[in-house]
Amino acid sequence: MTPPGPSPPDSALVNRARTGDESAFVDLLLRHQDRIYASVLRFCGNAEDAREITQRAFINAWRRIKDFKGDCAFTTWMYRIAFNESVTFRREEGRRRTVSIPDREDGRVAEPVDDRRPGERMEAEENRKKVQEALNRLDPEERKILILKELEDRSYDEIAEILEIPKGTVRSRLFRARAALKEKLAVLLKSTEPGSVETRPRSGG
Amino acid sequence: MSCGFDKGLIAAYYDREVDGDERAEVERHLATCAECARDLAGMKDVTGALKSLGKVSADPLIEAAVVHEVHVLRPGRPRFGLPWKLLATAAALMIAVGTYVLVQDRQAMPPGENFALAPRRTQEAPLVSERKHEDLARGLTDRSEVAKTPAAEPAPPLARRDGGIEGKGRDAEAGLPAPSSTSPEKKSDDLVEKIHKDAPRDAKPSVPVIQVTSAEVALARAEVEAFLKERELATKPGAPLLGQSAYVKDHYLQVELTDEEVALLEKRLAALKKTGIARGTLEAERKRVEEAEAALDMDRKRSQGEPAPAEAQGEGRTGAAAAKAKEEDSRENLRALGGATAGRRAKVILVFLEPPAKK
Repeated sequence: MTPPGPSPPDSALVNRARTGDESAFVDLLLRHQDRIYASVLRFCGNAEDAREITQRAFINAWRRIKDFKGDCAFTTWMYRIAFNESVTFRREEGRRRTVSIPDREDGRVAEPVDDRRPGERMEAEENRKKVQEALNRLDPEERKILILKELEDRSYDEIAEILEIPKGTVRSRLFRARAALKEKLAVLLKSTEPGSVETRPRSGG
Repeated sequence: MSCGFDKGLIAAYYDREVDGDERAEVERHLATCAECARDLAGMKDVTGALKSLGKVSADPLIEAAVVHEVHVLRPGRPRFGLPWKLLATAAALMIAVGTYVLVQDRQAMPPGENFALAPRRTQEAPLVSERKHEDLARGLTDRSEVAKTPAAEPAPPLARRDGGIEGKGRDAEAGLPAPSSTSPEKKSDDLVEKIHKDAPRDAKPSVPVIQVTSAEVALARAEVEAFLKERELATKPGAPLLGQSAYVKDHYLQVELTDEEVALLEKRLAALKKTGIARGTLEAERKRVEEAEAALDMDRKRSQGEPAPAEAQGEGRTGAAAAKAKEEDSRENLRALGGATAGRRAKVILVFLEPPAKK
């Protein structure tokens, strides 16, 4: 038995995948699927689309792995593919056919563990929905940059590389994107002030 | 109204992406400008709101679909070599697929979990798939043997030559005679024979595929699941889902059936409304998916006004080539179904499709 030694770096796995090593690519998938899925989910706003986009992104990456020259990190390349897929997916959405298999297509999303009381939990859930809705209302470039900074905690250098924009643009766009999100969020929160909400859970007693 | 200060610098300050001079400059300004101080506070609100979205884990179906694509539908082998080479690797792959599913089965699965929702592998254990891969490389061992073998033991070269997925054409090639005047088809047959001969008794030459084309895929699948339940073939709720092709959205189920059961199941499915049944092979299935995807790609490129890529053009099959492929498939098919007779259960893959959309 081999001891569980240090995991090989992405670059080593990429090199193996480039020679057709399927297991190396699957390792890259396992290593990065959570973060790519999370980014895509926040970008497109629904679990089922996010699943399909993420699948396509990784499958595309596998098909194009030989084109990846390693001049940037694998994650950088992967984010680019995933965001591209996200944008084109939305464009195509109207004419897509879907197969619905109810028991498997429930778009399972592991929400964070929440041990608060049901009422608070519901409120938190409502708030989450509003935040996502506000995000949906931003333009795609603003959404991307907020996801990369606020959710993925990428540095300005990394963001500049992923989005292929100058670092100065990262600064100004981040400022604008945050201001825009704050504004959208304020509108959404205002539209459902407490009291106007009629979705309170009926208590059993 | 704006104070005229570089707002980007405020963002950079907030994200700690400023150098010493810039930091001092921003701090001096913030001390005197209420607007920029408000902006800074607003950024904290935004961070808080976005953090509330929480962490998510990838949907398990993603892994199922990508692994299916990588290992089964489009493995990393030379894709468009000589026909005999293609067939040889395809034959090797078909055998490997069975083993792959077997290896998946081996992983402890809590009751109620299906293939696609197999236990999650963590980032701390990224080599799981490598072990799986080595098992694959071992090729044609039976279930008990796979289960007993320590995972980290290197794959014996012999097993690899025998058609493990590791072969990817390169190793399969090693077992081939040099190309001569004999026809390519003849050679591929030789190789298939060779693989079969070298394989342990248990190995199946191929995995037959039953194509279920239904306007109501969910109904067809429910019928299959009911069938499996009646015959007590399904011990878990829902038959294991082998995977889903991301592009054409077809669903694959793998089951183990006798020839009789296959016939019965086909009869029941054919009795469903608007449902068609066809038998094929994994190789044919792979081709079908490739073609469907190439067509989708072309559509997409056309709609975006881009020229079709060379690859897609290369994939387009002429009528003659398609007919030839079909002939090869049916030969392969006969062999495949021949392997699943005599009352023994053998792996069968069911693929559920929707009828092609009318244009």
